[in-house]
Amino acid sequence: MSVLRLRSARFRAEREKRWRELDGLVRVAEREGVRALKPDQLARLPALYRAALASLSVARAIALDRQLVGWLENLCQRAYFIVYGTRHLLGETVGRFLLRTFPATVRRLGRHLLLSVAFMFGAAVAAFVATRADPERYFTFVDAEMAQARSYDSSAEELRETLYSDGGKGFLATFASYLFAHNSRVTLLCFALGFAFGVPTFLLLVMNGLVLGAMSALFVDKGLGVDWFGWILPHGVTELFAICLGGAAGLRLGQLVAFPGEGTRREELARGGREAGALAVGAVAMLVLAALIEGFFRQLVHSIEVRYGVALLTAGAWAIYFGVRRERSA
Amino acid sequence: MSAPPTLRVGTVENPRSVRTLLTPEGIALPVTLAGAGDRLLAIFVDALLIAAVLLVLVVVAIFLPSKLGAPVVILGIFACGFVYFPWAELRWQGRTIGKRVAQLRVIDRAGGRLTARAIVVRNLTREVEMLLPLVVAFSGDRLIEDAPGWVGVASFAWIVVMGAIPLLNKDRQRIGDLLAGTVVVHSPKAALLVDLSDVAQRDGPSAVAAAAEYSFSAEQLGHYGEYELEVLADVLRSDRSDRRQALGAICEQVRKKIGWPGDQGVDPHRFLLAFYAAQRAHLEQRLLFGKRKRSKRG
Repeated sequence: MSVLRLRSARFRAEREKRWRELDGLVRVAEREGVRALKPDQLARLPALYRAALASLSVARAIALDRQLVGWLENLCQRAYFIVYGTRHLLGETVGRFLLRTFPATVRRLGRHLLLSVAFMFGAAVAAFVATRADPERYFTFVDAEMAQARSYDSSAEELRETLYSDGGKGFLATFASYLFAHNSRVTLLCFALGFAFGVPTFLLLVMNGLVLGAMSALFVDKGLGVDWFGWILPHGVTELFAICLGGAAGLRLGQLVAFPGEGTRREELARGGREAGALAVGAVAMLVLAALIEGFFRQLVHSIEVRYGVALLTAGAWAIYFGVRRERSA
Repeated sequence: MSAPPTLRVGTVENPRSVRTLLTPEGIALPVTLAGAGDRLLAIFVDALLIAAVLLVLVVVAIFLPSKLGAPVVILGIFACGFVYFPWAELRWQGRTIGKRVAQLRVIDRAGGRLTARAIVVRNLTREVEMLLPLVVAFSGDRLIEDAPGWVGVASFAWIVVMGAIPLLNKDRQRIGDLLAGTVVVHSPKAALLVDLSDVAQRDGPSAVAAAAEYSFSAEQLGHYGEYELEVLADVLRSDRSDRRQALGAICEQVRKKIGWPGDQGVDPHRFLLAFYAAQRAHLEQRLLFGKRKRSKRG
């Protein structure tokens, strides 16, 4: 009696070469990224993947070799992650994000942004009024380490010095990178802490506002109001706006956790979390700009007119960037 | 007769950790959620890597003029904390280097494309979840002046809660995963072994004639089902040291059960290979007619 090849073994022998070809491509893509594949390999990938999927469903129906079925499942799964994986080119992704997704998200979450701005500036106004009424309150809002030379004990001349010193020209890059790292961290914290019902986000925004308001009161009291705002606004427009965006993202998260809406909390969190995350990431990109303005421009340019000019310019630029709807909103 | 050696069929998976991924082509693929140990391993490897990079960075910065050195360190720390994870997960389809070592992968929970945004979001919360409380817990007094003792305690509580969240929810998601709608799965590379039934493939074409020495009747093949077939395949493929004894014991059992005539010495390995092929042919034939026999019990 001759030995017959099983139907399932024949099935496998006929297709194994193509499975192995797919396996090879997947291995390369896993090791070195999809872009390591040559154009003709890339073109063959979807066809090989679909063939493997078809083989899998046949194998499940006719083959009792579980090792084979398991291997095919594994192969299909890995190929699936390559075929339907993140294949966006980084440049393209960044471009589309900055041009479409980010401004559109800001517009969509406008109410959260307003709320976050209201928290921060409400606190700033409150601290401003309270400090002007009673300078003793200054240190309840600003801790000593942050205040450094800026306090009611300093003379107007000393205070003026803090607004126009260049902080040692050699270390501008250090200063700018420190500012960027610090502010980005605050912004990302504002976002990430949002899942605790938004409460920490609220606190961070308010604390930021209090410091801002108290310091403004100090400088206005000493007759340095114009200089102070000329010092803070060129970068502050961008920086404070970015922090408020981080706050808006955190408040949105808090809302999702507390009131998930129609779907399950898990679904709604996943959907809204990505949206809010876009705000936080965009805010970090804005902080790069703010740090450059703060670290270089402000330290080097002391003309009050130019400082206000830049502040206006940035405000106008952001208004156009976020306000003007592009044709297809992402 | 002594009890046959205990055998486990393949890898016995915890069915609670298996999820089904439905591809757009309509085929269901099983995926296994990553275990806590693997995820710890992954984060440990990544942390080690980051520490090494930072060390190199600091050493390099020492030799740079301080004008350049300080920004390099500051931005380097930022990049390690916030850029490395999203960058790696974008580059290697949801796998950082640590995850590659632990054979893990981030996927979209709904089975869709893993978007860049989801990757970024799931990594934004890392600092809040782990890094920040760790720093506060161990050096809170340096960060916050006169930090009361409860800050440290609260930080530890925070770490415990954050660590417990992935263990407690059913898809083992941490906060970042919840926000991004992602899950971490175990995705190892598997190897395709030879088909045991295929003599030509297994032993070369010359063995085909020799394999014909055993043949089984339909009645003899009616005893066992798919489960027993898999157990047999596993033993035949195993490279355990007691494989010879196991094969001998199983061979004895099978011969008794199916009533194989003559007890003169058969080679257990060759006998069982032939039996496996015949049994599989028999069961697959029945399968074509829609008759499944899951195990010897029916």
